[in-house]
Amino acid sequence: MEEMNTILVWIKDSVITEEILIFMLFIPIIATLVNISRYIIGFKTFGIYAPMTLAFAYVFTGIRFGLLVTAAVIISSLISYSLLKQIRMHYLSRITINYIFITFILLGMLILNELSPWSITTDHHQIATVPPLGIILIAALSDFFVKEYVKKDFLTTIRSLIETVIIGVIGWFLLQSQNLQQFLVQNIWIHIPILLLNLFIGQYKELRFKDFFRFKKISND
Amino acid sequence: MINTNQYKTILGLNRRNQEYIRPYNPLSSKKISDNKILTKRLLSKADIKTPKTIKIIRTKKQLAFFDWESLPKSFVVKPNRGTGGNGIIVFYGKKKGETAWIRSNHRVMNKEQLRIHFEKILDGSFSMGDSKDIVIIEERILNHSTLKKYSFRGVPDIRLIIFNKVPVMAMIRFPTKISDGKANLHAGGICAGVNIATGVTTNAIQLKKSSVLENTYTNVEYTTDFQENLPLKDIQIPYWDKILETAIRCQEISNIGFLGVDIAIDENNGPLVFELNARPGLGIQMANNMGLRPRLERLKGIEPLSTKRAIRLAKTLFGGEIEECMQFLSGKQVLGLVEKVTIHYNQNNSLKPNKSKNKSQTVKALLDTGIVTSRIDEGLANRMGYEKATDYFKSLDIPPYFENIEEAKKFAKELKVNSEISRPAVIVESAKVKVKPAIQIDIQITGETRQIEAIVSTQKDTIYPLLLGRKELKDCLIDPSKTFVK
Repeated sequence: MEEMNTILVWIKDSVITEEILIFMLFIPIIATLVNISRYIIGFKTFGIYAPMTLAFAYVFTGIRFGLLVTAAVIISSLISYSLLKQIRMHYLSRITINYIFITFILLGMLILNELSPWSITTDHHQIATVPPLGIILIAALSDFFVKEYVKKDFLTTIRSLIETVIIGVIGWFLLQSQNLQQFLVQNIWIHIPILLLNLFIGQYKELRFKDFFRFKKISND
Repeated sequence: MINTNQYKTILGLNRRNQEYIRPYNPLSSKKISDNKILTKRLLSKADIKTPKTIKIIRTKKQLAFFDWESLPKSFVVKPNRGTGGNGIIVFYGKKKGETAWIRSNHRVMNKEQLRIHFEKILDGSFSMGDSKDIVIIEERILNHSTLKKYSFRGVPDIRLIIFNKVPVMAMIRFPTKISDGKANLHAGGICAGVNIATGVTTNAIQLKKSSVLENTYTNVEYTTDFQENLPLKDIQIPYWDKILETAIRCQEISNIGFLGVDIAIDENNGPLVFELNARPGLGIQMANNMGLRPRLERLKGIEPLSTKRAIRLAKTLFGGEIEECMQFLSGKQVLGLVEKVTIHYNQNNSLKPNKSKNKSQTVKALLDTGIVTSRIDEGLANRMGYEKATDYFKSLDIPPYFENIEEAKKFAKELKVNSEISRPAVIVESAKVKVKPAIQIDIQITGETRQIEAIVSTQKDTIYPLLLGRKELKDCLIDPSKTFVK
């Protein structure tokens, strides 16, 4: 254990910053969270990457501003998808136009937020200080949303979206916890039980939590 | 609080994937089911009918030179690698004097709109993964007259789950006004469970409410969209045995061990397979109002059967409603050749059993119509507190066997016995005529407790410790092909 701490100190001093180390140690935690939410609870998120990206993005943007950007991205995706539905064009052209919509709707929302008396930004997260990477990461959600919406019906897509955002928010909650950050850095061995937990989930055959609601009718009858 | 015991029969997605899809559906077979063109080709080679293909468009170049006038009045457009019915459009007619076709919802799609849809399919918008796809244009199935009156502007499809070459569960999906001609349950179609043995519908359900949180379903008894709505129960699906046979053959050909087969019935061509599914959904359990797990467990590890035997096995194992029908018609219970019977400890015995488990014992009993009075093994009778009676009878001066039945009957008539014994009875055991004690025992069968007379014998000729004779079987019908019906 002592040796492990020595290695960690060396990594922090010589290889990467503590912030990057914390982020790296959190990747398996957030991925495990998505794994649990899929196979134990039954959440159908947009894959593993989307909720993970959201969790990290919300750390950059702050949760309230992050959720506002998420809402803007979804609304603009819906509008652009509905408008472009009838126009013949290549898939990537459609997605690009979608991003143009997102950019300007987002910009409009940011201006409105700044001018409005009900501004949601706080002292900690003024828009001017928000790293653009956070906004770009959230904007990427549009890609996942449109891809799903083309193949599935509206409600199914919205369900997946809500579940993705829920996992993103839980991930953000874990990520910004100072205690958990310190715990992970000081107890890197925790990733071994996490690995075992994922192996267990990989073998899990029982009903998912949502299945109990889905099949409630058979059970009652 | 959720009572998990109630859900033990239900097959969830986790178990479906781990226990059935991964071990039984090899990757090569999944490639077949995910590719409609390949599926059609394989099934056609094996003389299994599928909807006739009119055109296939593989590239945008082919689409640019497509002859729109060559399309018939009615046809179906589908993506080759589509999922969940996405991208499928059914056209019922052509608009007079125009290059435009009419959909099931009466909307008209012209050449340009259709070209956009084709391009979307070619771009892979409706397909698994992000790869490019192929447009399939095929003939529209003509609804069978029996099922037409239940479906609103669309063709009902029959979904069967086949496991280890045996049909396990079936349902039929009817399109409705809400579902816009589609037969999918989540789109608002009506799903009815189908009895595997008879091909008759049982329970029907429909989407009640679709919310962001969850979908809820409700039982429906009648069709919903007609002037005169018909009951959805007891619809006899035409060509049922042919459908079962076709579904089993689909599994043989595709090598998909846990398979969903979608079949529609064409008025002229009979059952047509239009899709194989290597990841069949689990909504079929709701339509049948029962879980898949017990049925699948029974079929694990069975040797491959011939198609006819597989159908017979499916009907025997999963056609529970035949018994209900027989019971209803005859007023008699249907029992198997061997049933589990609980024998209660002799209440007149002053020596009470030491362990609670000996207060009653459940044994396998043979329902033997060849004897009049029931028989009980001597060892079992002693364990259940009748040892006093058997010991007393042994103490009497009775010859071990008699020359003939008449002699034994005469002896038994003159023999005086105490109240432990109901009467001395004459039986033939190991080809010898003997006089044995008959006693009154309390048994429980089909949930009902009753007192019966049983002759105590050594039961050397049978493996069953209890034989139930004709006296106890007056109110039953016996199905010799079954055991443990109750």
